[in-house]
Amino acid sequence: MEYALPITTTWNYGGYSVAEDAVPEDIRPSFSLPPRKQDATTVETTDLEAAPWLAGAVEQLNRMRGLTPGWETSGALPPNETAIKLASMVLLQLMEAEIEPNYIDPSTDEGVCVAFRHGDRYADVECFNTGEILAVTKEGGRSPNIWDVHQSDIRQALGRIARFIH
Amino acid sequence: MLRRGRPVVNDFEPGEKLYFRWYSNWMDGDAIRPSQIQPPKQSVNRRRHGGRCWLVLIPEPPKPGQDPRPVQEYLCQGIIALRVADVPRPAEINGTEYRFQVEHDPLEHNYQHCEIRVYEGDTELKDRNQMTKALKKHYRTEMGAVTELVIRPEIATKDARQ
Repeated sequence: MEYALPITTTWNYGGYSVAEDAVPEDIRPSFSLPPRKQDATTVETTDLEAAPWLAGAVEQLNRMRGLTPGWETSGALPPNETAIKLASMVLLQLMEAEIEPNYIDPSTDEGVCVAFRHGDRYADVECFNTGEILAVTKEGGRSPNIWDVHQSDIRQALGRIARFIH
Repeated sequence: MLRRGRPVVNDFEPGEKLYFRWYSNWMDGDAIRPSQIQPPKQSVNRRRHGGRCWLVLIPEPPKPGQDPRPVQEYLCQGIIALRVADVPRPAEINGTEYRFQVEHDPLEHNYQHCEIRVYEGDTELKDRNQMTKALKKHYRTEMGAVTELVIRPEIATKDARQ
């Protein structure tokens, strides 16, 4: 199976990255992934096996690269590589935490939005072309709660969202 | 529909409906995706003065130098509604007070046209670059929670159709 970037076809064998064709098929074991660095942006083939939803999300991100100005009606620019890279980091952290988002979209404020919804609870993490990240939670008729997320705090923000949504 | 010299009427009942059109790939079940909501100034049509929800599906005259968009681009979109009372309430964001207000802004071809605008004090923020990201996010998230689906869209945005 071939994927466009940012996926690489390597196997994680005992903590070492090994090219897929270097490991004979009949002895490829099942194994656990070593802990991922917080700033990882590369999706590996084994990630997709662990989280089937990730393939669709990565495809969505790759499609956003093809958007042009005018993709929506108010003249917003499409997501750039900065926003897409940050969104990749969010997706990988979600995969590790075994949390599946409801959808992933380009946003009208020039970035990528990863969204969650459960009943009347809504949350999202938005990665902007400027490199900023904002998260929001909202329940029913209450005012939204919005906060800045530093790149090194993505995991923490997602944990907060997971506890809110569920 | 056509203005025909009719005046601006900035008198809104809390229960008056406001409408805007929407694409199918911007839906999340029966709810709309906040990520796709336009920041203020957002265009909406009002119910009063003969307004009907389907008026938002009538193609707009093209801007100078622009080719007219195909009719189905408009007619196959869905319709979303909210009440005037549900326009986002005033908010304090990072220490600054903002308020959102719907205002009648009739066009020659669309007398029912209104805009949801945002003010910092008495100053209208007319350009999205004057608005902080947190402010826009607040608006989009609030709007996503108060809108209702009137007619389900039948067409996606161009990029989603390819």
